[in-house]
Amino acid sequence: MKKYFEFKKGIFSKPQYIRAVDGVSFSVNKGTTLGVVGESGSGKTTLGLTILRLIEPTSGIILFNGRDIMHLNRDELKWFRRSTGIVFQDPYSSLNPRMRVKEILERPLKIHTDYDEKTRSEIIVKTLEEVGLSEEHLMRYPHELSGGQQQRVAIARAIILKPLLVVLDEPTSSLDVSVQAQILNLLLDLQSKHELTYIFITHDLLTARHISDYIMVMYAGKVVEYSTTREVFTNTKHPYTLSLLSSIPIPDPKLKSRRRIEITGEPPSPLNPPKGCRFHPRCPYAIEMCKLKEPELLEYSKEHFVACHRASELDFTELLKDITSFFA
Amino acid sequence: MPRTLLSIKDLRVYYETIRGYVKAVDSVDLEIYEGESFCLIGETGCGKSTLALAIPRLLPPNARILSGSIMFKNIDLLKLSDSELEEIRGRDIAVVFQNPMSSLNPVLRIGLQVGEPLVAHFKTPWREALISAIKQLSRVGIPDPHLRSKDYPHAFSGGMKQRSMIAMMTSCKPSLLIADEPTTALDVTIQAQVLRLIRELKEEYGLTLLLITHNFGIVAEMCDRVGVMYAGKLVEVGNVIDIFESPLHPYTKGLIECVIARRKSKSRLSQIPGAPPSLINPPGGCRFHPRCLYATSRCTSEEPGLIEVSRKHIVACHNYVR
Ligand SMILES: Nc1ncnc2c1ncn2[C@@H]1O[C@H](COP(=O)(O)OP(=O)(O)OP(=O)(O)O)[C@@H](O)[C@H]1O
Ligand SMILES: Nc1ncnc2c1ncn2[C@@H]1O[C@H](COP(=O)(O)OP(=O)(O)OP(=O)(O)O)[C@@H](O)[C@H]1O
Ligand code: SF4
Ligand SMILES: [Mg+2]
Ligand SMILES: [Mg+2]
Repeated sequence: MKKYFEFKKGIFSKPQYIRAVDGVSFSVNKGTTLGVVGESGSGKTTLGLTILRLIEPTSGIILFNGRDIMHLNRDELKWFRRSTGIVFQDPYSSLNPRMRVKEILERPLKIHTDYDEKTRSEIIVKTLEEVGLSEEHLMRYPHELSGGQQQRVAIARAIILKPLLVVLDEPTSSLDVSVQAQILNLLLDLQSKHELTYIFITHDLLTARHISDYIMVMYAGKVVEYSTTREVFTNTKHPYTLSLLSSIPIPDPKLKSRRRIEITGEPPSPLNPPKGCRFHPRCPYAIEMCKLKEPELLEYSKEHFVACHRASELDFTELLKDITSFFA
Repeated sequence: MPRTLLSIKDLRVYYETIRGYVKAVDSVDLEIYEGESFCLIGETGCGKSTLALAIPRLLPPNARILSGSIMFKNIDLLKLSDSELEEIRGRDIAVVFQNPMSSLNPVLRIGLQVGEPLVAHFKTPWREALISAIKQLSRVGIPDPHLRSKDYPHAFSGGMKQRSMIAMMTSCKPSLLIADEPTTALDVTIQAQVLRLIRELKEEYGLTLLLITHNFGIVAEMCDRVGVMYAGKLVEVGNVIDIFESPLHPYTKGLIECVIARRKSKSRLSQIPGAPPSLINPPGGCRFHPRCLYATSRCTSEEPGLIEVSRKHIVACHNYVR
């Protein structure tokens, strides 16, 4: 995979740019959210980890605040680590079971700052309160917390150094609906308070829609569609995005018998993707060319990128009517 | 008037643990009608699986059924011996689990497993059972069923395993299919395929479906009636439109709002404060009262019974709001 990301933070908080995949550049304003959606194995996590330089891309460059993060010197790398945070899907396995909440939150402060113990404690308590926990939880071990509380601790850890960018990898997927709502509210609050930029990875399109300003749809390791959330949901261009939208169960019994296109087959292994368009074996709209040539991610209209040979001729508005009617 | 297929009365299922009894299902009454799709919804640990698996008595060894009756076609399943129940299980009542490997045997070829219930329950000769199995595999959408029936489960993807389990479970055309989170582990496009398969088989075989899920989208797509569980109690039963559009129980209201509010981008979701209680020492009175916005002093002391607000809509709340 080629991964080019560019986060440019202008002096006057101009947009941060993300330049991704195949040299196309996307822009995400500071303090907003890019949602990354796709099914299992589509490469969402890989993308998130690459952006944070937790794994190395095979090729390409990633720019953050104008700096190429693949070529940072030691100080710059330290600065980069400080400026970014990550939250994983499974809070329990991402928290060290032998560390108390206090120690979990203290670690990044010890590594990245030279605050004294008193200052550290103050920051820890303040951050805990920000995520809806309190001093009472300081001395607990992760297993003494509920799933939602564990995720709050993971979020506290990710934001304790006041990062610019936080990658959230399925942060609500293992949680119940009522707890999901609490965590999503928390994330939105923290975002507006600290002007955080989020990369929000999820396979749940409804959640992605709720939290994101821009959405990137991935399939078998490739970005197939990227645009503003509104555009992706109302002016869907890629057949895969359409089939995702058709497949999500919509919580409205009146839409039970809506028209949908249902794709057959299963996602390919990312290690051995089909030739041509990776989606072609499952695509109801595939033509001969799709088997032969891989479509490029092209700007179909302003800020709307699509990787499909037929993007300019296919129109899904009719098919999407019911789903769009669900959204306010 | 719909005919009742399954009638559960005053069912209590507790788990014995060193810390005390976990009151997983506590005095639940529930009727399921012939031919309907009934969904049980509720958050993790509220007792959905325990309630559903008490019906075919597939509970863990530390489960204790303390009271109640489960009438299925005029037989009280709780009064049957294990071997009598064994007869009904797989033939009349089938269960599909979230993890297909809990039903599939890893060292047996798929075809044998799908055909086995026919041999066991109807004494069908193996040759015929295998032919049926291949038909059934083809019916659930396994490509090249002839060849694939000779595969072992590990050669199948998650979606194909789930299809095979459904093939096996429906091979005797049961009258009740219990599906416990059958698609939770699957990708959305595969989930849509499997849900459609279940809907189709339900129509074809005239099955009654008891579906367990925590996904309100699935509830909306799949079922006619809904039962909402909270902390071991059934708190509301109604038809699907009523549950979504005029829920009565404060807990149901809260859940529906959490879900529906996602219509709007970036809006704050309404949230239910707090977290579900321990089922070893659940709160007295209404179990939901510590989290309830409508709670009054009566709620802390007196447990609400099920109130029939209309013939089709039942709620357990002292202060239910229309
Ligand atoms: N472009 C790619 N080329 C080759 N392998 C890839 C590519 N993208 C991802 N992979 C591999 O595919 C596997 C799944 O990728 P990843 O974990 O990123 O997917 P995901 O979208 O996060 O899936 P999930 O929803 O299951 O978390 C990983 O082993 C990863 O190394
Ligand atoms: N074998 C067991 N021993 C003790 N407690 C148990 C056992 N199995 C389940 N429980 C407890 O009983 C309660 C109900 O569990 P059950 O599995 O029925 O919930 P559920 O609604 O199906 O949850 P989920 O959505 O997570 O599947 C939970 O509090 C659970 O922790
Ligand atoms: S390029 Fe072809 S196969 Fe791929 S999504 Fe578009 S129409 Fe379908
Ligand atoms: Mg992932
Ligand atoms: Mg369960």
